[in-house]
Amino acid sequence: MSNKQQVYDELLYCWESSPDEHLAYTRLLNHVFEQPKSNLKHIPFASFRRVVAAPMMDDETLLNLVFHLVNRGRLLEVHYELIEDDNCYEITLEELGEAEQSGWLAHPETGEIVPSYKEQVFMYFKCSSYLSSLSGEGAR
Amino acid sequence: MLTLADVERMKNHPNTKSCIIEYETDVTGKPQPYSDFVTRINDELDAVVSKLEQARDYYNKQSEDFLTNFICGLLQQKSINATHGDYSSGETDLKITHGPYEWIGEAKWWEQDENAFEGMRQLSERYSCGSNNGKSNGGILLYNRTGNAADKLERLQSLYMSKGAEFSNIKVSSDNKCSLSFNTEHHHSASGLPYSVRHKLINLYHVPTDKSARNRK
Repeated sequence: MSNKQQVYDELLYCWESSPDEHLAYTRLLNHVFEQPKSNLKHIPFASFRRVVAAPMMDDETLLNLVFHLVNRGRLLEVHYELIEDDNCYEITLEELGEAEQSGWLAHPETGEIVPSYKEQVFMYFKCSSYLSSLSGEGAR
Repeated sequence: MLTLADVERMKNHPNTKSCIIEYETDVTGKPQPYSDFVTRINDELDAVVSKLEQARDYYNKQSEDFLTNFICGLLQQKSINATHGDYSSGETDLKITHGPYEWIGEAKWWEQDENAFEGMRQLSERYSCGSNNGKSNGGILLYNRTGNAADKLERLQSLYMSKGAEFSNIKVSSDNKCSLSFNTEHHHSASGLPYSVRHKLINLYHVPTDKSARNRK
């Protein structure tokens, strides 16, 4: 089983040839490892821009860095929520899969069709149980 | 805030296409169609090679392993499951997997044409199995530090056309996306099935003759 330092070093290794991304990724890793996991239960994408402190970095480069933590690092998970006025409704992957097939999303409470659902469903990130275990905080 | 619509748009962006597709495959268990995977990998390799070529004065002094490891690292940055030295009946230079699919690349410094053919033999007779369930494509990466790359590549294509005895039923075709690449297809010696290889020349020639270079001599 890997320890935190091993995971940190392994994940950073492939960024060595890209100095700007390496710095940003280091900041992301430090953030997810050092923050109490209770602070990592609902991370909107915009938060990562503050973490990397790179205002000129485009969204695509930033998203690629964040997804690296998801795909390769398994440190974060992706979640989805429907935001309607001030209310948030968690949308599962299964519901999204059905919506993709049918072309429409049923409101999780009312069952009514959500118009233009792709503009109203937002992605956010959450620490994984793997990250929690690396940090010694156990699965939450 | 990132909407699903934003993510869908980013799926077409070269910086985010792979990380999103790899994520979707991971959560759904459904890989993208094999031909799309091959196209995506070739596009990503072209982008990586472009970075190598931008600093060819540095990279043309490096070993094959160094260069291939560099390529591997840049692919990994995009969440592509690329490895250098992974085992497949031998240590592969570059192996990329996506779900059940596999793409293997063999890299060589192209000092003479025999290097290219040796790479092709290793790829098609040692590392690949050539089965048609997502393992029917591979690549040869030819690191080149001598000039006249286009002429060399044209000559190599002609030489491959005469290699039918060695690579059964070989066909050679140009690559519409890149003039320093070409494609071959032959009947894989193990499976007997068509095996497609993209041969890509990486141009690391750097012999400037400008005033600054002359003054340095």
